[in-house]
Amino acid sequence: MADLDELEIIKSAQQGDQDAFAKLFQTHYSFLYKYVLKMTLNQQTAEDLVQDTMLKGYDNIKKYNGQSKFSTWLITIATRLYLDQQRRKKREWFWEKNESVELSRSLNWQLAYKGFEWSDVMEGFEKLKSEVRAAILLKYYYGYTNEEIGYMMGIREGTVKSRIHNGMKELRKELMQDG
Amino acid sequence: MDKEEIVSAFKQFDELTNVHEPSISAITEKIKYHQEKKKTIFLKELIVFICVACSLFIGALLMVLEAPVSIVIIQGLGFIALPIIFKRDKKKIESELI
Repeated sequence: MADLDELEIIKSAQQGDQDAFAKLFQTHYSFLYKYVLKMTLNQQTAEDLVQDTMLKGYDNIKKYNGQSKFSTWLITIATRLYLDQQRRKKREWFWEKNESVELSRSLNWQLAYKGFEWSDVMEGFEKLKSEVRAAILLKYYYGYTNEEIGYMMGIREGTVKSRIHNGMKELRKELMQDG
Repeated sequence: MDKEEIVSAFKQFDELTNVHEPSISAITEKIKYHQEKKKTIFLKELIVFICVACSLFIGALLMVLEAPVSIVIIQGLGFIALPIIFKRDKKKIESELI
């Protein structure tokens, strides 16, 4: 549940107050950006996706009913937008072929500069399909239930379960090969 | 490999990620721009809709008045050409924005 102060700001935003929405979005920006960056593993894609999420959030703010946290609502929009984009891009096979190579290269360099060792886990994770990556991230790092993840990704609970199971299997296999 | 390894890799990843929070004015600016863009697109769509409706109406009217077929065809083509021109402009505007 969103707290009382936040609910007041949300109400103002729902009445069309742009500043209220901006304040709300700014509060959750860091959380959203970090989530999107982990999901996409690409800085440029993450920035674009955060902006698209903001605009979609603004257009649909009246639909937010306060049943979930506002941050959860935002990452639901971001997840759906990203998966839609990926589905569209899948048709462009050339992009898909090069995606895994280019996806995290620049980010890898930037983080390596700061002393982050791109672990085998991260290497295996970036090789997974986007929908599997999102499910694993939401389940293990953010602690959402399969039901919640299913709602966020627009799929059934059983599909979430099998995606996570197969994703983890693939990740383990990848690590065994590397090790 | 267990979930703790994933969590610890992501925690480290998060800690090293720099986040440049945008200012409230920058966010409202983007929202305003988005609103204007939406308004422009809506107006263009409306014009296309009116063009097509007028084309159908005048075409039907000319046929009722037993006007020569060539006139009906010319007006029909005229009204069909307008939406195409508008759509082309819309694509141009969108590609420029991208």
